[in-house]
Amino acid sequence: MKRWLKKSAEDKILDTINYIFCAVLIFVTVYPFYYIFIISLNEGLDASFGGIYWFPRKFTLGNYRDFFSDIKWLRGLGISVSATALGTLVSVLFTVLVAYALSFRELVHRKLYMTIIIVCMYFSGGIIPYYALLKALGLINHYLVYIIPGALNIFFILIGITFFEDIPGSLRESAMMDGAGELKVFSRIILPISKPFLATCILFIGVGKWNNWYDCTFFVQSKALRNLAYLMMQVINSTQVSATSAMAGASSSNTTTLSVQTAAMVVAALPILCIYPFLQKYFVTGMMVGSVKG
Amino acid sequence: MRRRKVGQHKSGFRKQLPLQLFVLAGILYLSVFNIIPMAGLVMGFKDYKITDGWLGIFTAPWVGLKFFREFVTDFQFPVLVRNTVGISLCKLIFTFPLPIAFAVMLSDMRRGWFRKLTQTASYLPHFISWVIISGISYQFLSSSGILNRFLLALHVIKKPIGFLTDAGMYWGLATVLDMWKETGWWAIVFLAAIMGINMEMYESAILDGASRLQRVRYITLPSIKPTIVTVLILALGNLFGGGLGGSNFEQSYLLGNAMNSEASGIIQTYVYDVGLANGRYAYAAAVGMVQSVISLIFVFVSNAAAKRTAGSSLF
Amino acid sequence: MRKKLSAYFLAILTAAALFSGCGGVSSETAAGAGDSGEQATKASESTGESGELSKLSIFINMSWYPVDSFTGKIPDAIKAATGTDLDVTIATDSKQLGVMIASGELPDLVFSDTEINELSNSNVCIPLDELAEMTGVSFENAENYDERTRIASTLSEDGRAYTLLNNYNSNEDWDKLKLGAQGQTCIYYRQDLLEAAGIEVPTNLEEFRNCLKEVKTAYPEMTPLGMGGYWKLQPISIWTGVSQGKYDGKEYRYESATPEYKSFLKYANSLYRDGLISAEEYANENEEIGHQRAYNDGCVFYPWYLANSNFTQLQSNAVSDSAKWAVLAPLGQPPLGDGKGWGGLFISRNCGDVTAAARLFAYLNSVEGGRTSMWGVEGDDWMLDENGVPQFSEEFLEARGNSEVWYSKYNTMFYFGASAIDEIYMNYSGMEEDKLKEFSAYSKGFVNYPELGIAKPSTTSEEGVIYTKLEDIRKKYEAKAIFSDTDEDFESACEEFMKALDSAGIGTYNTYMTEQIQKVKQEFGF
Repeated sequence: MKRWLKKSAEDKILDTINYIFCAVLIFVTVYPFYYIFIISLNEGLDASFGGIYWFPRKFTLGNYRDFFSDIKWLRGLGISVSATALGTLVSVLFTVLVAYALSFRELVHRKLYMTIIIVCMYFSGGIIPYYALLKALGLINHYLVYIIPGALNIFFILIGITFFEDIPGSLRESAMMDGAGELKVFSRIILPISKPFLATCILFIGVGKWNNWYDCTFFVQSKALRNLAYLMMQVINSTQVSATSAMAGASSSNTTTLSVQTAAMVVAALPILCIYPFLQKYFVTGMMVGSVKG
Repeated sequence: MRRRKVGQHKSGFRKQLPLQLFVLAGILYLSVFNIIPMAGLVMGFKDYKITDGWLGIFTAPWVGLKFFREFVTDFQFPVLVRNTVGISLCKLIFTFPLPIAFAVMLSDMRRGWFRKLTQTASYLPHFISWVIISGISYQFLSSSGILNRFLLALHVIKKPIGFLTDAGMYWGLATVLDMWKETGWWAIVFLAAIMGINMEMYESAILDGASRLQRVRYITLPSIKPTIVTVLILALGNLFGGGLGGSNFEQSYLLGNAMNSEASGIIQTYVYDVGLANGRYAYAAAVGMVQSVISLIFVFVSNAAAKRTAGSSLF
Repeated sequence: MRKKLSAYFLAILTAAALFSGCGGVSSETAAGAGDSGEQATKASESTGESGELSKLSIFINMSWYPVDSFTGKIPDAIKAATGTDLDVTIATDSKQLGVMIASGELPDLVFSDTEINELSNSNVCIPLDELAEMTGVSFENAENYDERTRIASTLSEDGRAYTLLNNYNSNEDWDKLKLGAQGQTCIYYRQDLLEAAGIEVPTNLEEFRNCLKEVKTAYPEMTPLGMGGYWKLQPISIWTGVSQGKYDGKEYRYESATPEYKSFLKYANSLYRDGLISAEEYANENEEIGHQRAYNDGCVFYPWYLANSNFTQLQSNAVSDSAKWAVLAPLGQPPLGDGKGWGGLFISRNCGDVTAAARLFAYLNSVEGGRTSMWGVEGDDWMLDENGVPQFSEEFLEARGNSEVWYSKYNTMFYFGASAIDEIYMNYSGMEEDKLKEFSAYSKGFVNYPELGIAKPSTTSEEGVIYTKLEDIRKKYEAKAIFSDTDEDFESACEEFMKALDSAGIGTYNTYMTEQIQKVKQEFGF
């Protein structure tokens, strides 16, 4: 970015405020995450005594050990990776397609469509009818239950509409005059310039699917189809002793529920943190420069 | 409102056929996965027993408005409503502007490692679940916790503050934690919107001598106005159901306790305690319906208001 | 660019196809998938003698279960005795069972302590009499068969028994209890700290209050009476006679509206005003945090659940080397037992191999099966002494103190038919004499009124809803009253409390319970 003018005094003040604010923000956001990270590497019982701030006091990988103890974790990981990748792909494409089409204010029946969509966002019959539906469709206990239900994200349809509305209609018109059909216009012209929005969709929807243990809990019975988020929930639950059970068993061990939860969080967050830098490069400005002139 | 002639309608539809098909695919999908299960809402008017299976939703006897009456006449009802709406409003007022301001600030920063670091750091708290937050909250926020010791050492306070037990503190605590947790994440949406702004507008503004603040005020913000309005309307719709992007259930359930229950108990936690935890699906369905209807009303009202004041709306 | 995208797309599709292939195949053969269970397990019907194990799928409705597989010494013994193996799924969410019932997709067996009324339904599970007819297996060898059958029949609308609840003993059994005590709350305390400061161990509630004051002067850094998680001040409320105030053999009153309860509130409030308990610790719902304070010299007296394992935990995790924990002898009246049993094993309508299920059910509920599930293999792990109390092997006792070894090596979590006394002996036998005396003091005067538990309404009935609301109110207002700073605040909090209870329907609930209890007493002859 070219520097147009020398920085004014206002600029300098703003910059300083910005940098101080960012420094504080970085500390306030990174430190708790780091704290949880070192807690996960510390013996749970010892960690519960507090006083650990910068480095683990009694280092252990024991909190993670339960997560990688046998083959079911590898399978769970495989299911999670493929279901998240495929599910996000399907979901983002579908959502973006619908959002694009709805961004045309002259679309016939548009008000009706929007009303239906908004109503669907706020009304739900609850889990029992939903289960009955999935059962009727044969999705219960099938791999596709991770992909097909939830393939349309209403929130991002609405956000997407605002994004697509900003794109000048001239782009589409000139392409169609060249003989391109709607689908071609969408995939060849609109999508490439919607990278920031696409990246956002992929991130939000992807993270949602990665962390989703709910679908697995209710709609999957087969052990071969269990995903990572579900398996982690199970480990966390098993470290909690029910206070109300009449027959609670022995419970002295070094791991605490919190220590296992922190390890689970790190395992769940790490892939996202690795992927995000790749998505970040799509947050570029100036995508519109020079695209339509005259 | 001008009504189109039927003939125009038809040909207009046919002209837009590909686009219409895209949308209809979506509508069809919603009809199957969202609208059909909505039939289950009738549960809220029936004495439904799970032992009758899901067919029982249709065969169970009607009880009319019994559950609605039970919910509305419960002595806790006013407090629940006050808390639900109050917490959501607090969050709206404080956590809504923040992601926007943060996104604007980020977009204005020089591109480089510092900006990347700031952005990455900002959304880290999103990954920390409320469960973990409540687990470590004792260490940080109890009267012998780090924050209190810090404030005492600085002589800012004389007695430790009961962050976790003081009912008066709960709304503030919930809001601040939410700000910390979600600002960076939501900023991504607004950042993406800002990335779509035509650079040429900035360039000509600079040539005209506009300062940074002026550029933000006259170019950046108006350009992302549709996005802001959309998110705002949806957030207003969620006032009764929870904060922006979801419900406050987890937060209230985990951070609420016997001491601050006056401020932390919301409709969702109550429905869970008295409804779902006891297997009362019909009751939960009834209360859910109340929430949905009110949310929808909010959405339509705020949409109309936005159209009039901001000139941009959801639909 | 497009080629790359297509390549990625293809790769992901292939991966997905592979996995869905796996998923598809496995979901057909994995025992436990809803309706496929019927086909799969029918094929493997066995008599138990041929060496082939029948595999049944089971859903355990307790998310905190520390084990998720039917492995270990005790499960092996059960497999050998019944010819049945179990494919275990543990609940992750409390709504799971409800959805399963509504959709008719239960596995072969269910073990649950909640929603037992819903499970006791002919559409959902098989009643025991029908099961006996179908399979020819008799359940009458079950311990306390008559009483437990009658109790189970009160759970259903059609009056048939669909299970036998575990963890139950008759009052005759309790009279013969040789050591240990019924499950209840208690207070553990730091014996070393009291001795060091020359403070006498209190024997009643007045002495207790003075003792706490002395503790506070001697150890100002510590909370005299700590708290953590679920139990809070329950031992105190019991010792002030709150449970006695609930039921006098004739009339039932929800405890929060009794005069005994108010005196408990006053007592607790005085503890608060003297700085002997902390509001923050009371508010904390997280057990681990409470325990951690106890380990870390944070408190001198610590209320918790009476159990050998809990005591061991306190002692072995204590941070200071000189820490010596002990069990405080009860300071007041014992609690009113209302035990009718805890959880039950149900055989669902989807069960693929009812004979195997019936065999397993009969075995686990028999005296022999119940003991095996809690004590291990007879002769190897335990032997009955002349008092009828099991004496355990060294190995067993050692494993008992280490939860990882305990669950992986022995695995006592398949106690679906064991009695309460089985569990008590499992927990306490082999303990050193003086510790055992401290624990056993809690069994003095303990009387069980099964009619109280049996009369309790199901959670989805009208009265059950009232009960839930009463409990909800109690949680909120109890805190308000106990932690009031002035007498006026206290009185007004109590008034609000009572008003709230009234508006929630406490009168209806009391009348209902009194009637029900009388009915049950007549029917059962208690």
